[in-house]
Formats: sequence, C-alpha cells, structure tokens
Amino acid sequence: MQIKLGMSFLIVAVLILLVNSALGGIADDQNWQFSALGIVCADILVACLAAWILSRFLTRQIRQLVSATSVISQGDLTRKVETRSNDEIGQLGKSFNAMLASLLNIAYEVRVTSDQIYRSAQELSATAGTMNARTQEIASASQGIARGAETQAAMVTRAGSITREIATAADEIASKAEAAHSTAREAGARAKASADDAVRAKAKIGEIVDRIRQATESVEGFRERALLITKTVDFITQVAQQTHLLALNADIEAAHAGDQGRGFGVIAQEVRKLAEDSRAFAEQIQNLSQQIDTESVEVIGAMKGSTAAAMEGKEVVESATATMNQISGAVLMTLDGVREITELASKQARGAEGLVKAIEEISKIAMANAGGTTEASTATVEQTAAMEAMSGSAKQLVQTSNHLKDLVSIFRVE
Amino acid sequence: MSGGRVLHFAIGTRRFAVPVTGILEIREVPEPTRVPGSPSVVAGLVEIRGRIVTLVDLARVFGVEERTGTELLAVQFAEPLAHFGLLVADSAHNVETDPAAEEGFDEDELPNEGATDGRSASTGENGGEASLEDEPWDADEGGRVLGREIVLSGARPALLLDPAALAEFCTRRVRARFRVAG
Repeated sequence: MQIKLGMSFLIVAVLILLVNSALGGIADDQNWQFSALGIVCADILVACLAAWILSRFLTRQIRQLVSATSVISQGDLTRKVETRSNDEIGQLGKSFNAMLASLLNIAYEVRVTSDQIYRSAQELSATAGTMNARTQEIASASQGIARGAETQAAMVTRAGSITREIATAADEIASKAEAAHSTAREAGARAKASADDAVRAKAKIGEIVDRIRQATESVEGFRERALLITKTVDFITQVAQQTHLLALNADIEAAHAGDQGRGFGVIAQEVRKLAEDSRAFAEQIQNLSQQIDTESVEVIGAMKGSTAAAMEGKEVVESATATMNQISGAVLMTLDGVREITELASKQARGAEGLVKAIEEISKIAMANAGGTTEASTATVEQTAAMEAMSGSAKQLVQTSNHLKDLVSIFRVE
Repeated sequence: MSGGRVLHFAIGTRRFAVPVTGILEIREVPEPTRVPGSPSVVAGLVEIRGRIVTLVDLARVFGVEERTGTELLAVQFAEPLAHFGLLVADSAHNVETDPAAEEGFDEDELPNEGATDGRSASTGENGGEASLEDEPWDADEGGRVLGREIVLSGARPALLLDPAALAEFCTRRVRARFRVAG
C-alpha cells in the first residue's frame, strides 16, 4: 500500500512535470504571466485528476470491505469478504473473514444456548409457579397448624386450671367427708341411745296403761257404789216424804181431837220437822252422790282418753324405735360409704395433683409448640414471599431469554 | 174450837190455805179418772179408802197455771164433805200446816160475810149457767164466797178456802153441765 501510494505520488509528479514542460513551451509564445497561471492551473487539474483516480484505485477494496460489513451488520454472518491482494487491505479482509468465522461460531453457540436458556427458563417458571402454589398451600396449612397449636395451648392452660380446681374440690370433699364420717358416727351412737330410750319409754307407757286401767276399774266400782247411794237416798227421800205426809195427817188428827190433841199436834209438828230435815240431808247426799257420779264419769272418760293416748304413744314409740333402729343401720352403712368416699377423695386429690403437674408440662410443651409453629408459619410466609419472588424472577428470566433469543435470531448463521 | 191452824200449799204462783178442821186427810193419789163431759173445774174421780172422791182442780177454778208438780196429792175434806177433795200437784214437803192464821181468823166467820176477795165485788147472775161451765170462778155464785185473803207466817199471802163453798160451787157447775135439777 505504501509502495502503491509512493508510486502514485511519483506518477503524479511526473505527469505534473510533463504538463509543465508542455505548457512552458506554449507559454513562451504567449504571455508569460498568462503562461505561468495556465501552468499552475493545469498542474492543479492534473493533480486533482490523478488524486481522484488514485483514490478510486486505492479505496476499491475498502469499499468492498464496507459493503461486506454493512451486510454483516444486518446480522448475516455467512457472508465473506473477497480478498485477492496481499496488501494491508487484503490482510484486513482476511482478518475480517477470520473474525466473521469466529463471530459465526459464537453467534451459533449463543443462539443454541439462548434457546436452551429459554426452554430452561420456561420450565423453571412453570416449576416456580407450581412450587409457589405448593408453598402457599403449605403456608396456609402451617398457619392453620399455628392457630391450632395456639388453641391447643389455651385449651391445655384451661384444662390445667380446671384440673387445679378439681384437685382443690377433691381436697375439700375429702375433708368434708371426714367431717361427715365423724358426724355420722355420732348420729349412729345417738340413734342407738334413742332406740334404747324408746324401748324404756315403751315399757313405761305399758306400766302407765296398766295403772290407768286399774284406776279406771276402781273409779267404775266407785261409780257403781255412788249409784247405789243415789238409789238408797231416793228411798230415804220417799220415806221422808211419807213421814212428812204422816206428820201432816197427825197434825190434822190432833186438830180434830181438839184440846186433847194439842200435845200430839206438837209431836206431829216435830216429826214433820225431822222428816223435813231428813229430806234436806237426803237431798244434800243426793247432790253429792250425783256430783261423784258426774265426776266419776268424767274421770273414766279422761282415763279412757289417757289410755287411748298412751296406747297411741306406745305405737308412736314402737314406730320410733323401729325408725331409730333403721336409722342406726342406715348410719352404719353410711359410715362405710363415707369412709370409702374419704379414701376415694384423697386418692382423687393426689391424682388430680399429679394431673396438674402433667398438664403444666403439657402446657409448656404446647406453648413451645405454638411458638415453634408460629415461627414455622412465619418462615413459611417468608418462604412463600421468596418463592413468589423466585417465580417472578423465573418469569422475567423467560422474558429475558426470549428477548435474547430474538436478539440472537438477528444473526444468520446458516 | 181448837181453831186457827191451816194447811197451805202453792199452785203455780198462788198459795191456798184450808183450815185443818175442814180436812179429813192429805195423801198421795193416782192420776184421777176423768168423767166424760164433766166441767173443767172437776179434775176427776179417785178412790180413797173405798169411797169415790171428786177432786176439784183449783188451777181451773182460779184461772192460774196448770199443775206442774210430779207428785199428786189429794186434800180430802172432812165430813160431811168427804166426797170432795182438792187436787194438789206439788211436792208433799211444800204442804205445811201453819198456826199464823189463828189471829184474825174465826171458824165462825167461814160462812162468809164481809168478803175481802176483790173479785167477789162483782154481783148479780151471769147470763146463763151454761156459759159459766168452763169459766174460772169469777163471782159470788149463790151468795157464797169461795175464800178470803189471809197472811201466813213469813208474811206469805194466801187465799183461805171455804170447803163448803167450794163443794157447792163444784156441785152447781156439775149440775149446770148435766142439767140436773137442784
């Protein structure tokens, strides 16, 4: 190239010399000044012409190179630059061809790889979507688990408090059962004592009944005698009445007898007075006897009432005795029952205490579980976010790889 | 005369007295047998010692309460009125003799003059004897007064009866009843 350029300048110089010489000859004939100007102009013309031709010759290969690169710039890497010369331009063409081959190879590789990336990205996107869905499911499931664990923890706490109450109640039951035991024992003893008392009372009532019966019989005998007295007194009253009438008649007879009967009349009057006294006393006796009779009847009635009441009392005492014995038996049975209750309540209290401890441990575990589950849930939520981000990245990757594929498809490699 | 002793008794609220000299006997009698158609002043007939005695019902005669006592006593008049008597229904103990009437009492006055019974003041015959049959004694019948007021011991007032007047009164009533000619 340097040679060609040197040679070209040499030829141009020769041509200029030739033109100058030719023109110099003409110039002698003519005006000098004119000839000098003409010579210069001719020189410039020759130089320009020579420069144009030279540049055309020199840039032909470069233009070829430019046309080839413009095609390549459209993506066609299959084209080659034709090089015949061995100069710098030819070397440039060769290097260019080598570069193209290398580019073609790279573009092909890039194309294949981008296809692969695209497919992989699509697969990745699909997988990421599936995983995202799964992760969301896991997240909701783990949230449910977390809630469940919290509820469980609360339940366990409640169970703990309830069990504590049960334990307290069982203690109370045990103490009360012990109190009931002693009370029942006392009640049993008292019932037995009452039953014994009732038996004695029954015997006493029997005695009372017998005595009342005897007394009633005595009073009835008394009443019969009083009735006899009444009858006797009736007879006395009648006698007194007859005596009275006799005295009256004696008085009348004495009156009829006149003076001789006067003494007799006095006697008759005395007799009548005695009869009157007899009648008055008989009346008193009668009244007393009737009072005795009335009172005897009342006493007998009262005694019969007392006997009936005593018999009723006896029955009541008998039933009371039976009831007391029943109570005594029932109390003995109750004692056994209460003893069992006491033992069971004590056992229950101990068991409930153990249960409380166990539940406290369960509560701790459940709380820890709830905490862990909550953490897991949080982690799952984070993971879900990460998965969503990853899914988004995968989708973006798909888009990017697609774009890359599009870009790479510009290059013609076949 | 031995004089003033009287036997007295009560019928209802009123006390009657009879002089003991006018009495044969006082005794218990059974329920008297009523004579059909007889006037109400005749209580009935009883048999005393074999003699039929007409008993005068004083309650009817004097218009006082019916007899109420449980014992029936008969005061039989002395002869010659022994076929008449008074029915006394009371306890025998309420029949007494009393000497209190001795003063101001004279056997001779018995065929009474100067009657003191207020009711004897009304005079004159009643319209017809038949109308008198069952009426209580109210007037001087046949000019004789049945009794007069006296005062017994203990300031007890009593009507002293005249047995003869009573017997006559009763006879007149019976006769009027049966239209028996006097």
